Amino acid sequence: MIRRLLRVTIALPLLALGIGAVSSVARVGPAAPLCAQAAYAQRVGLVVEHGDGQVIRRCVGFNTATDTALGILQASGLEVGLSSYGGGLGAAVCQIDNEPATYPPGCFTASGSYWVLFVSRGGGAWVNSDVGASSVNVANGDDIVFRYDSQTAADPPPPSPAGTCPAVTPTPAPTRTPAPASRPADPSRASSSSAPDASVPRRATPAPTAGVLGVATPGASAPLASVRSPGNQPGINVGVLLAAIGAGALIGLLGARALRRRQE
Amino acid sequence: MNPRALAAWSLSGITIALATGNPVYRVLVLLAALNVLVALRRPDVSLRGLGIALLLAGLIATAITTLASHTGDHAFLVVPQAIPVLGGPLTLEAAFFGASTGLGIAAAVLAAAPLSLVLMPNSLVDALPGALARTGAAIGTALNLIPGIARSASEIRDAQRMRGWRSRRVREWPDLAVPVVLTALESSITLAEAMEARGYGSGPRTHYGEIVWRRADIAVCVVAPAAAVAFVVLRLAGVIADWYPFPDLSVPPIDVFGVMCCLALAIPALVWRR
Repeated sequence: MIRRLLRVTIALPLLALGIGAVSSVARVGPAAPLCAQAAYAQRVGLVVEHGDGQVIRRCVGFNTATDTALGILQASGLEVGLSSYGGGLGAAVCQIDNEPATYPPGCFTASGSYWVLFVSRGGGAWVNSDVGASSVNVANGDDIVFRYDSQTAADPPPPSPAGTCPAVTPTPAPTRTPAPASRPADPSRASSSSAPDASVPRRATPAPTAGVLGVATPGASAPLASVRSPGNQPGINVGVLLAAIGAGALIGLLGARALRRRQE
Repeated sequence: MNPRALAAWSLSGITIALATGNPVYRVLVLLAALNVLVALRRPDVSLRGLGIALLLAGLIATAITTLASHTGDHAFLVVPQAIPVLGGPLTLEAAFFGASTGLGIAAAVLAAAPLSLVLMPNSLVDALPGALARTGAAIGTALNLIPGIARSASEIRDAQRMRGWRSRRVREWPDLAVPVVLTALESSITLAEAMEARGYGSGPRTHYGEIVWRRADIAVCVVAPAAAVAFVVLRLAGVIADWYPFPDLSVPPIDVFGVMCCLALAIPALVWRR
């Protein structure tokens, strides 16, 4: 009986260790779809500022007279997680481009960061939206910014929207190039994304780049910027290992004590 | 074991279990608490009832969250929208979140359970600070009343049955309830008289035995609260991340310091002996 107890006590942590090692191997998933619709009659500039200052810019086109900020965001091809404010305020944007990685059922935490929506009408000043993204109508020439911002820190207005969605130029459309992946859901999925750009400052002013012009040109389809840190490389996570070993040891100890009690 | 040290450990366990929504930490707290219960519970105590109650609580938490929360990417069933509250997609994410909530409840209850399943009620009342002695005595007496009433009800029901009483309708229940209430009142008066006869309330509370602090007690009293404080600080600092399965199920983030804090709660099972 003692041998059996010892066997159980040793085997369980080993089993848990194995499970932990397997589960700690990083997941690899498909890259997020990319879609920048520039060849339309109406166009709206979309800027997404992540919490670490990284900026994604898209020029999104549509053929109706107006669209909603949510429609623009969803048409941009970025990953979006939604909830509802309720009371007719419309949809609450909980997650864009996999930031935050997860969120509570009610979308917002008491003190954490959240996605703030700013709207600029026809090149005017940014105005903080006081309704949900599905209730904000935008028209040709407007710009919108979704910024992942703290609830407590100072909230400076976004930079000038000029050039976010530049005018169509008569230059020949550039060759369609393979689109780099958007922000990975898991840092470990970033193997196919572009390398981090150290030149992108935190809270960087979204300035038009060659990529911007390329996307704004009809027929082109490429992301304007999707530079995210690849984060942790795949491997064994010490926390997972310790948790697995600890849980295994506790289960083993529990089994041993239960058996000893039964013998008594 | 020192009841105050055990109370400090219980409070630490509850703090960690409720400070995070991460199921990994909750499982570790649950396992640590189970180890303490199995190792130290009184010989006359069975854990079967508690286990069944916690299992039911977990299932109910999972069911309620799954049926009421319609958030998440992976729907496994769609309830017609015409049904209020329940209408909408039922998602795997909501089910996992409910299970995590159930785990939190179970971990917190198991962390508090040693106070009643390991300690004798009088030890717990003895361990209270002087200012809370009367409150503790009142609560202890009230809690003791519940099993007393249950025993009394069982005895009276048996006695009534022997006289040919059968409970077929609700309006026959007073035949059982009235004697039970009268017996409970009589017991309370007897208890009050016995306490008064022993000088209750005549002066400061005295103790039959002194509470002794051994090395193991001090270790528990230091390590467990330190682990809880460290866990809360790391949680507030953002080192220990919380977990939400929405909108897409993800593996809970695990921090090595968070795991160490949870594992530290197993210390009573290692240093105390019954």
